[in-house]
Amino acid sequence: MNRRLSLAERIFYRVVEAPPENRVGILADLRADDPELCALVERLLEHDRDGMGVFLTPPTRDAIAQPPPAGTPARIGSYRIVSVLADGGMGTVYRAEQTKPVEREVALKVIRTGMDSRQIVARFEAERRTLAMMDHPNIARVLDAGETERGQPYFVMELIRGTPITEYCDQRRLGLPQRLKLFQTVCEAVQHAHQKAVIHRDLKPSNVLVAEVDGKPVPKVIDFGVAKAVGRSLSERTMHTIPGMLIGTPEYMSPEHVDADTMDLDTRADVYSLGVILYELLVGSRPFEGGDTLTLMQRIRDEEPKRPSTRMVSSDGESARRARARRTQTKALRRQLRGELDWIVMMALEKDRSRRYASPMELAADIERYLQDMSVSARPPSMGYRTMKFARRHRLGVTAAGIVVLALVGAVLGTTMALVRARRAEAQARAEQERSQKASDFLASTLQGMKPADMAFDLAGRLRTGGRGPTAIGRSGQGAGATDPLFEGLNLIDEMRSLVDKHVLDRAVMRIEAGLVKEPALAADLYLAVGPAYNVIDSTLVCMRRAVELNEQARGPDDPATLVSKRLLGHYYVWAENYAEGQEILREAIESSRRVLGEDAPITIRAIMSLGWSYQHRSQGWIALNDPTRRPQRTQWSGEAVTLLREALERSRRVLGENAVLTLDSASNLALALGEDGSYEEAEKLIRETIPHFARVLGENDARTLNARMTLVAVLYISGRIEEAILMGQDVLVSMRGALGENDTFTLVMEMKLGVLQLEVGHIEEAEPLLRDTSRRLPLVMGGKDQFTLECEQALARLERQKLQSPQTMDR
Amino acid sequence: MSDSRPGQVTLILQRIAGGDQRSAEQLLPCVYAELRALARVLFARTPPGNTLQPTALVHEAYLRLVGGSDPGWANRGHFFGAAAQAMRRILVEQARRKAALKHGGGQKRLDADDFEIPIESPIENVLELEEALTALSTVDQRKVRVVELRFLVGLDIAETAEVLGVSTPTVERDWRFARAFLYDRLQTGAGSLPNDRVEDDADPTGNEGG
Repeated sequence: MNRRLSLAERIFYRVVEAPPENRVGILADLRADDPELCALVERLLEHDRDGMGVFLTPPTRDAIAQPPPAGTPARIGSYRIVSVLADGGMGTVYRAEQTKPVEREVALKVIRTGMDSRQIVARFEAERRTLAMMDHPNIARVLDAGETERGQPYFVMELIRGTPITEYCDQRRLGLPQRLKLFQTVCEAVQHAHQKAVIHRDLKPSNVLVAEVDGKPVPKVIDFGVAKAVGRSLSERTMHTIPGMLIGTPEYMSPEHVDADTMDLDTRADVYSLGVILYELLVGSRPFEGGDTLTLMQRIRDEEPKRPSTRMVSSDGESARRARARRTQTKALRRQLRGELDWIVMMALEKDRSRRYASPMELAADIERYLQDMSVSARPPSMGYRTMKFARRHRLGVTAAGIVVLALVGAVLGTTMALVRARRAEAQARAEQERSQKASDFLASTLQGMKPADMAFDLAGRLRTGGRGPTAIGRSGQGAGATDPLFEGLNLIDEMRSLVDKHVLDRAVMRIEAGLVKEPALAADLYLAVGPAYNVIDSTLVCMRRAVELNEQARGPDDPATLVSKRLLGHYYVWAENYAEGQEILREAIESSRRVLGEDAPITIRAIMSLGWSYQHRSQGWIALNDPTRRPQRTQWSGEAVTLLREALERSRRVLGENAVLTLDSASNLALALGEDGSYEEAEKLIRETIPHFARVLGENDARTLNARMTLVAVLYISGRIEEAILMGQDVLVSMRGALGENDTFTLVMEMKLGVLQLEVGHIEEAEPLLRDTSRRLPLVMGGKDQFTLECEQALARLERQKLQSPQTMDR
Repeated sequence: MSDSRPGQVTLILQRIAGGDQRSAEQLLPCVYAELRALARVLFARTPPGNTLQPTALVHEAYLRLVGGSDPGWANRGHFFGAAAQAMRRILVEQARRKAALKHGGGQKRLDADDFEIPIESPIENVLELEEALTALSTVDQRKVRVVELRFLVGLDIAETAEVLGVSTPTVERDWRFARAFLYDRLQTGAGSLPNDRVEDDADPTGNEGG
């Protein structure tokens, strides 16, 4: 028995079970006696607080195998009964072995009935052909049906080894985005069944099992068709008249289902049940639960459920535990739930089914929209990632103000160009990796049985409906080209991005190449979608090149889609800092576009803007280098940038109007270019004018609006007006805190930059809390080894030195 | 599987239930042998490229060795307790063999016992976990049992409590500390406390009488 370790154990328990205010004292005593041991205990406490991810997670399995109870036949049909999996109200589920035609394990469910089993089996037979046609990776297949010797109907299903989705998410401590994504898969599965005219009617967590395949979660919906075959009139009526003799819990049943008089259920009943599951995933409890069945049913029918965000009570220990299971804390969780998520859930739970989502797919689509707008606070993205994602959502040409500010402040700190480049590449690489990992994860879990034709079908469908993303460009509704098919070309990118989030890269590429996608045009589109998700820019370029190739073949060199793909290729070349190639391609694209579509076509204008941006991108690098000998070049570049961007802005204004997003993007890029070119006044005037437009068109709290404001801060800084930059920066920070949250990466970076600016003008007292705060919080969000934490540390070091030199800081 | 085998385990369990404590010592080697034998049988039946899951193996063994009639919780407890320890030993041996092969400790001849049964490792660094578990056993053996039962046999908190004959909160408490301790150990490495010396060739089933 190791005495010291035993002591550590005792202290550990004392601390975790003590009220927070006593904890420090307990540790202090230990620290005095045995600092080494105290360090161990502190580490253990930290691990405990932190959750340790999936370390030592018990593997899933069936409940301890129960040998079949006495009296169970050894065989049912041609199946050998192995053990009991579950025993529910409707019947018993066995694990069974099938020997013919193939050897495998199955789940065999024997229905407990009192009456009419023949009718049930007959009804199921009719269903069975439909069910047999359902081939979906997330739906457990029903294989067979029959009657036991004793006349009980049974169903044979694919054996799924998994955990109910709610438990799975809690066990793995999945955060909200992950839960939402998993839930979307379930929606898709149910949608698939609906398309085959099968309604589940009994959706609940125990019917949505999550299995792990290759370490990735795969939800499987089980028991399709069983509820229907068993029949409403028999089972559900029973619930009313014989309390306690439940078929199942009514907690997940839709109001119309519960209301015995309504005989027709449609797909929306499933939507309701999905809503309840979603509620539970987000909040940890169901909208209505507990109590006796009859009261429960009445509440479901009549009572309005509490909104998810209001279900969390801050003083509640239960809430805290639930929040931890979602990798967050009560307050933060509430904030995440409030607003759009609340609204989504409530719509699914509408009593009046005509006010619900009409299909699971609509529910999933709304969630997708929510996910698109959300800055990824559930994971620590690097600034590069946010800027990347942000830049992408803004058509790849928008001011990457964050990077500019970095470059500028980098100059102040004396970083070299190489370092800046390296950091940017690193951030980008990490960002891309996260993105492709996300995509890979999803695909790996859904790929089984996925048919590229489905993906293509999906894509085609989205293209046809013109996409749904609120950030899709081309919705300005102004100017001649608003309903032009050209705009469809611009929507392409956004739609494919949402697809890419769901389909993997390499496999997709493989399948594309293997010719499984019959239409080269679609293949090109897929490449355009897949390319940007790679974490290695070279792979992205390969995809882009291929896309252009295919487009040229399939659609012809002058087709708008081809031109768009060319522009993108050029853009990525520039992003990879291959300016020569990138600008050449962009010029080509401009020329072709001019010729084919006209000077004033949006595609032409955007291509011009991209070219302008490429020069601005180039001259940015100079500023970081701060090398006066390269001034002439820098002037040339920033000069070019200004010229091109002016043209783009002018045209866009004229053709599409003041409020078109293209106009706003051009303006904001131009402002930055003007700043770098030395035209400070004009730059400032322009960006100041543009910001209210952003606000009006996209909203005050849209990330792009905030980015435009950040551009203003950068411009003020470039022109040497640091004090003003600080004032403005403080303002922007407040807005960001409000719109994006105080723990959002973007916000934290802004806070840090503000600290650095304050330091630059010698405001040590203002700088210190900002820097100390972010030096504490940035690593939590960014991982600790990123460029911003580093920058923060360096600034803090400088702060310390300055404090030593300053006569005011005597004590402390 | 011959008829005598299942009977043997049940027999031992009955003896234990009847109060014969010494039979408990026989249980572990018996279960250990059974698991390995069963693993070979099952492996032959597994589609190529797949590996055996430790938990599946244990539960399969349970069904075959004990399953005829419900032996009651006490005996289930004994079985799973033994199975967990046996599984741990098997996994460690497997890991050591692999490590030896990697470092050039090639076998000159193949024994029937050396036959490599690819039981899927629930964790990558089995040997490090093994060391950490040994360290944990110097604090509290029950915590080690909890980890074995939960992680290698896949029991949930309630089931673990039944097997060990303690309450659910106790298991939760044990699990909480054990997990943090093992995690820390795997992160910071062995020998982080001077009092903690771990013998390299410690028998994994060690002196833990259970």
